[in-house]
Amino acid sequence: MGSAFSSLLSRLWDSNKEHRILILGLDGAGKTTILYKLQLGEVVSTVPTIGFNVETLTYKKLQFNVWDLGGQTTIRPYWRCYYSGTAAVIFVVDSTDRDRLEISANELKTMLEEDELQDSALLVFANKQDQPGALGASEIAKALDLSSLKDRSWTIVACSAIRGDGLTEGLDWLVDMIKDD
Amino acid sequence: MGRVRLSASSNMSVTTYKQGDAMGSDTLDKMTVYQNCIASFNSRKVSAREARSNLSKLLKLLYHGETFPQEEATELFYTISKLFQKPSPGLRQSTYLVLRELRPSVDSTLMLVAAIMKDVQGGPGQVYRPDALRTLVNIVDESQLESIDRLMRMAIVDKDGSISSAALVSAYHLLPISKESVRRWTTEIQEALHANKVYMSAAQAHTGIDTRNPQSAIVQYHALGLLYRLRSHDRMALLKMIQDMASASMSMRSPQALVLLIRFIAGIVDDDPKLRPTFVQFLESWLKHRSDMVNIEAAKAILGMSTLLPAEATAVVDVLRVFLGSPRAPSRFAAVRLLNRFAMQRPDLVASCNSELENLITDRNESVAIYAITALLKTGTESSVERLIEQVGGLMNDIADDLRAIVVDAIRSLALKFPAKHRIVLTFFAEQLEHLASLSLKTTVVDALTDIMAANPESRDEVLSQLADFIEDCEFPDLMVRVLHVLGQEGPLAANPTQYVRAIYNRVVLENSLVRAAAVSALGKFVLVEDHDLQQSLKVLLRRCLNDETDEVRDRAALALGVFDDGPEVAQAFFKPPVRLELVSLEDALLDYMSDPSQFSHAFDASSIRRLTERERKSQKTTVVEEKPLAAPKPSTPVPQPEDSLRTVQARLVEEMPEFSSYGNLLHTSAPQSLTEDGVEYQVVSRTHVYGDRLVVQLEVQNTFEMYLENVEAVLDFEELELACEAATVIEKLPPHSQDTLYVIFERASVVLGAVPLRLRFIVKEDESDPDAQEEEYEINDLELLPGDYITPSYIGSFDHQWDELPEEETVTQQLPAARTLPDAVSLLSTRLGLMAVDGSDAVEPDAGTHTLKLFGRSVDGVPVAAMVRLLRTARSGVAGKFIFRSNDADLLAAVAENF
Repeated sequence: MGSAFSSLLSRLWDSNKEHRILILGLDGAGKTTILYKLQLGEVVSTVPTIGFNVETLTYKKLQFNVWDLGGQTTIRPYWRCYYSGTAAVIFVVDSTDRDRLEISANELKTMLEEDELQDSALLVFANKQDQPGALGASEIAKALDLSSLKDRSWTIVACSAIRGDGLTEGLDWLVDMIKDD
Repeated sequence: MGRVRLSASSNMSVTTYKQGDAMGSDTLDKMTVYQNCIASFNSRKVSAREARSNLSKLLKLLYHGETFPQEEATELFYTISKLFQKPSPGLRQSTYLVLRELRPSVDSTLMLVAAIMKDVQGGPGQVYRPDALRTLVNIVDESQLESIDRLMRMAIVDKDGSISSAALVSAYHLLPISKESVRRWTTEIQEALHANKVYMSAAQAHTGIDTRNPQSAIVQYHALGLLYRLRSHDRMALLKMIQDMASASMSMRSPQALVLLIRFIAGIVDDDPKLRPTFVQFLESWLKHRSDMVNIEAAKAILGMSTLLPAEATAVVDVLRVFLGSPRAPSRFAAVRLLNRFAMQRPDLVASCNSELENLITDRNESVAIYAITALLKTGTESSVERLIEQVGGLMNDIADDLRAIVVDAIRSLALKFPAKHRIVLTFFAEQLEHLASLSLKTTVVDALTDIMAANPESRDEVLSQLADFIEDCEFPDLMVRVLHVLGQEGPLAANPTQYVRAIYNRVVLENSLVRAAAVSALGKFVLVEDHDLQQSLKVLLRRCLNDETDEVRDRAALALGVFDDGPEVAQAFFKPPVRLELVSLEDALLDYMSDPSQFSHAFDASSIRRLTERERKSQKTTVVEEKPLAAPKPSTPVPQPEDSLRTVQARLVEEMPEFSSYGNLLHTSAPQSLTEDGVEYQVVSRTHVYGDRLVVQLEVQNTFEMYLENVEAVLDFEELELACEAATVIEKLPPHSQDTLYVIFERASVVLGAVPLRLRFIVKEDESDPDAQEEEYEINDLELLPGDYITPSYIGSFDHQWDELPEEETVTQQLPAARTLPDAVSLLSTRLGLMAVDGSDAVEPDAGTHTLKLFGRSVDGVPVAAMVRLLRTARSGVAGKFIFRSNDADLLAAVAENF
């Protein structure tokens, strides 16, 4: 009798299943700003995230559990503790930070090699497009060597978290990917 | 049939389910719990309820002392962090409890900082906000303090008292990590101290009803305690705070905070009796406060003061008397406990409560009853002794050992007060020794017995036979060794020594080597008994001990026999020496001797070691046994360090300043002398070290100010004295709240005494890179070179004889404004003069009017200095003394007489 009850419960759960999304990227890329812009629709003032922020948000009738992990060098080693069960990774790049593009590319590469992320979709945000001197999406894609990715659904969207440009476009793509799954 | 079986099995399953679910079962398996936690918290399907149940199991393991290896703990930690995606408040509370327990085993807790900070800032009325705060300070380290700074400030002044309290308590825990950070929150902490807090439980938050509960003003308590800790280094600020709070005590709504304040007051008044008049009126007013605990704490503080006026004592006793009839057991307990302690000092006053105390003998709370009886024992009259001891005897079996020890102490003092009643007391103690009890309690009883014997020789035979019976059946070897020593010491003086020889020798046959060795030593002392038969039997017994399997036992037996053979004079001198070396300095000197094999060419020299007469030794011992006087806790005073021997000081100096090694042996070193008032910006403590031809002034400079000091040097104005400065050191940098040492070295031809004006010169900077540095001079008190800096206290057996031998004499009559009582004067004089009180002349009654003090010492050059001081105390003019100094060096004598 107990098992019948629990399977009923699990069906209920499935109907509003939460999808796990990670937001990753170097420190100062704008991950926390993106998270709260998506959840609250406004730009909040942020401090460097020591650890993570986690928020639930509903978009197009889908429930997302969004984890924004801090990007400081001290915190990056712990990203992997949160990889399992991730439906999609949002990788945020500061498009004005040319000096650290290579570090960014390396972090992305290491991350995508993880077993636990083999089935996750990848959405790259080329952030801070509102700033002068920002690189475009194609330049970022090239720097990150995205074209070499095999067996993975990915896309890159130029955005500005402050103005809100490009965020919905990226999220729409994510919803499509998750619905297809 | 089938239906019956089905229902039976379903019943079964229900019961098993319940058992498995019950938290009380002790069958939680560590691995199962661990795996369940990992699996369920990683699963996205886990419900808050299930997660909480798993956490509770984990918590139970942790609370029972289970630990996980670092790797597993870390994995648990990160897995648990995933529960932060669930918004359930109950789950969050459990999570915080577990995180705090796991914290010590996890290598890095960085990942949770942001999430927890968000919880702390959560909406008003969120139940888990205080929990989050407490966990936050638990997981941050020094590098992250900066990032939680603003958060802490806000939390401290949060209008919800539970947040404010949590923040203040958390700040306590941050003190060891970074006192500086916490200090920056002083404004907020002060605000919390005065603010009117609202307490919201989750239910109130929902209903929106604001209930102000005066009992929950606990924030004040936390804030006050924290401010005290922050200011404990700055005496002036502390004093001001305490004074302000005391004057504004009407606004202190928390009785706990007031109790704390009273303890602070007791502490500072104890440190500085001059403050007494300022505070005693506050304490008296709090005797009438509406809260019991405040009344009792105030009573305790007043009774604990070093001087107590009769009117104050009466007022306090009156207040406590009322509490004796209180329906609340804690109040009765506190009052009777205080009265019991005070009864040591003023039995006559406490006696006024006797009828109330009598009622408490049958109190249903045993602790109250015991204290009541012991208080009565102390105030009791000779006629009531028997009844009280009988009554307490009935209770003794049912109470804990520490309470029993209190009773034993009370009865001990009773026996000392009424020697005639020693028989009843001894019977009582005999019963105590028979019962099963801890080592410490039995030691207390044995101590009490020996004290009674020392005070009342009539009781010797009875005490000794009791002790002899006791060791027949004693399970504590350590205590047995002590008893054997006492038997050896006192047995030879008893009416029938043979009895004790038998008891002691039984131990040699039956016990372990430790006890056997002690027994042999004790036997040896019976050689002093002038009884031929006994001496012959002793010889036989001791010879048998020569075959013992342990060499220590054999050695002692051989030694005893050797002394025996050398005749009665040697035995007398060996077993009952008139003076003994002081053990601490003897040990020091021996260690020093052993440390350097080059010294082995000459024999160990014990002549420089301090000697104690039997009487001095006894007085040292009894001061230890005396019941502790009622004293307030002293939060800030450091434990007095035992004095170092000259060799240690010399070695330490050479370590600091290698040049000093060329100055030869250190001849004398003074006690530290404070050259500044308490609580000023810079604290200076001086010590002078005397070498053969050098005088070294050591200055410990402490910067308690917020300024950076550079090139700190001492400027001594020594023109009037015959001193030539040879060298001086400079402290290059002295940052705030740090301390360093300056040395000034003088050439010295003779004994130089007098006051040397002293200044500090340095460059002040606001911070290290401050461009407008200024040179400043800071006046401090004169450095006083006292006779005590050159004279070492030393013992002399025949003072009167020596006194007559010394040719030179100087006489001075002087007022001693620093001393208020004769005991004060005695201790003041021995330190200032550097002389030792001999012939037991340091023993003086506290309220005596006159006293003659005999002092003796030797100067650094070995010249004897003796002093005879006639002290006189009058109510009007305080203590005055007529000093007669004698020596054989007229210059030294003149210098001493002029400058002490």
